Amino acid sequence: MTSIPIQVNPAAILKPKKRRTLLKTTLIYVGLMLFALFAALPMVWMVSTAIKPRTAVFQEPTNIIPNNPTMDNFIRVTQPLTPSGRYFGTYFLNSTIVSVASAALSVVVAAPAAYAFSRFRFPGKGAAYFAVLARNMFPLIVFLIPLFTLMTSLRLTNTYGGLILAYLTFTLPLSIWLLKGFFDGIPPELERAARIDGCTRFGAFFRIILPLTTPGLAATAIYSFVQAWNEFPYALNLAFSTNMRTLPVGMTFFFSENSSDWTGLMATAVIISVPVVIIFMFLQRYFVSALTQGAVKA
Amino acid sequence: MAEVIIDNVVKTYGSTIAVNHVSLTVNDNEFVTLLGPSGCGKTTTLNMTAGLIEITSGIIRIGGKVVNDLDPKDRDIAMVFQNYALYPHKTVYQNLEFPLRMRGIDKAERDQRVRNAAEILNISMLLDRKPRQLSGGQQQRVALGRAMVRNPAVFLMDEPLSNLDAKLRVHMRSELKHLQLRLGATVIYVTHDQLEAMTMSDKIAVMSQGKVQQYGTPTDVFHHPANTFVASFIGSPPMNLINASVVHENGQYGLKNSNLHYIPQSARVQAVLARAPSQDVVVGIRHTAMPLALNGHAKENTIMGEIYTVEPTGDTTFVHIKLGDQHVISSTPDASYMARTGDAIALKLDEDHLHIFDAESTTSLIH
Repeated sequence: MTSIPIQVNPAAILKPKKRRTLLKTTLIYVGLMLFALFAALPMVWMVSTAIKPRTAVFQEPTNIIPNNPTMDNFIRVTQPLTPSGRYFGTYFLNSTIVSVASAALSVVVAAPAAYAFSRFRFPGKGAAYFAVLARNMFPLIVFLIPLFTLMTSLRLTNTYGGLILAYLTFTLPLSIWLLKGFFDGIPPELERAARIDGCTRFGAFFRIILPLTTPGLAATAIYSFVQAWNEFPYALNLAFSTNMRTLPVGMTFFFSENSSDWTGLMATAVIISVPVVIIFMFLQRYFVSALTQGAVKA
Repeated sequence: MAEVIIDNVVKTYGSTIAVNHVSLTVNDNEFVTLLGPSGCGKTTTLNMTAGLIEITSGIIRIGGKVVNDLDPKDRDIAMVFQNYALYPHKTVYQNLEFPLRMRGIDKAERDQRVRNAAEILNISMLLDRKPRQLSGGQQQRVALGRAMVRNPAVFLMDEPLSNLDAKLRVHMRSELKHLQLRLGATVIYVTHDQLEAMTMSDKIAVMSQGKVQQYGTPTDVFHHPANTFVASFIGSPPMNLINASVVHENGQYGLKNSNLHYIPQSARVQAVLARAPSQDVVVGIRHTAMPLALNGHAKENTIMGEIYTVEPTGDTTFVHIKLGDQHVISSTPDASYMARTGDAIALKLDEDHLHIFDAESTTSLIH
């Protein structure tokens, strides 16, 4: 018997599949590019306006890349001697104090709380955990009036403490949820081993569990910082005196005081974004892992 | 080293009883295994001894001292966990050093003890590595080392070998036993693997449903099982258990069911059947005591069944046989033995190794 060589044209087999994959890939990339554009365009516009001379803002046709880029706006909004830059330092300081304190307190309070939710059985645990998560079902603005009434009667309006407390109402629930995911991922045998090796319960938490949760603690702190840094309605209503305003609130005065100073507004917006962008660039790896871990294991 | 006395210990979770009046005495330098299926209360018993779980009632003594209210760190125990529980952010050296550091032992002595333990366990070259850079077997050694460095009164081990592959497990089994003898250690060891229990233990506590079913030497639990649970749990393949009724005919006692009619010849078995509290019994017999009655052998006083499957394993061939609706396992040393499903087969019974259990209480009628 003679054997008939079987001829196969690899292209004939691969082609339909390959074409489909190529089409699919193209569609995915086009979609993603549209999303990227959607997210990036406002940022590009912001930076573009920030480096335009004031007179060039409404020029037509609009140039994304300005003809005469200038840093004047940045100088104007930050210089203590100019009218619009007079309070920049105060606002910046206020924002920093409130955001750093919110972030630090979130981590300090959320870590033991999340650990308790992760490890212990206690009466009312389910209800308590639900209460923590239920906070996230409502928009911030819903709690503004009750918080305002509370802060007024506690005489905490126009204080750092009041604003920090208000910020903790939304940074804590997510911090607890994020950190619980992290603690759930750590085998309980580790702290059992530590307790047998000579630690108290608290010692085991402090010496073994916390060091292992560093990425989670970092992510939680960043998240809380960014939330507090960007927050607007609470800051507007709970810290309204001139020397207590935060940057996002201070920004709004570019409208009333200087009859819509768009370039100043955008320059300030760029400056406000910088700390957030820097933090994200360095720590986004932690942040992503924290979010996914929490999502899967919570 | 010290003895451990577990006295009438109970653990309940709400209305669930996890550990039901367990009493055990573990002598100094003894290797005792808590053996049973998952959920039998063996790990709970171990964790209560460690102080990781509070006991509901009862007393635990270590070295003569009641430890009920002592923290784990104050009980002078060391524990090895199934997943090793090495501290991932510490090096091997720091892992070994941690229990010593926690006890405020000075640096020179810590170093000497860590290096000594590493030497014994042959992990000296790994001291600078992190746990994730080690193989399972190496992690296992580090976990043992961390337990050893403190010279604890008692070693508690919770399935320490079950995460290792089969070959390494056999190897570590002998190393662990060797180490225990060398250190003169008191060990309480938890496993669900009866082979581990048989090979390493001085005594085995077979547990089921929160209770100790039998506490004795490996030989004891293998050859004199106290009840059908122990009989079916110890040994591989498990002991054959056949439901039967005791009948009395022509002045002799016999065993009968729909497929079986057997008159034991030995006086011992006759005496046991004579004092059976009810006529419902369970006959227990290991595969070795129920050989195939092959061609040329006397067919008298055999029981008849039909071949289900034949399993050659190299040196022994296991033969699964159907006795009516019951299923038993016999064996033959003939490695070339072949049979077809459905073939009739005769089995001999070695009456010296026949066990009779009461069907209702499941306890052995042989004392």
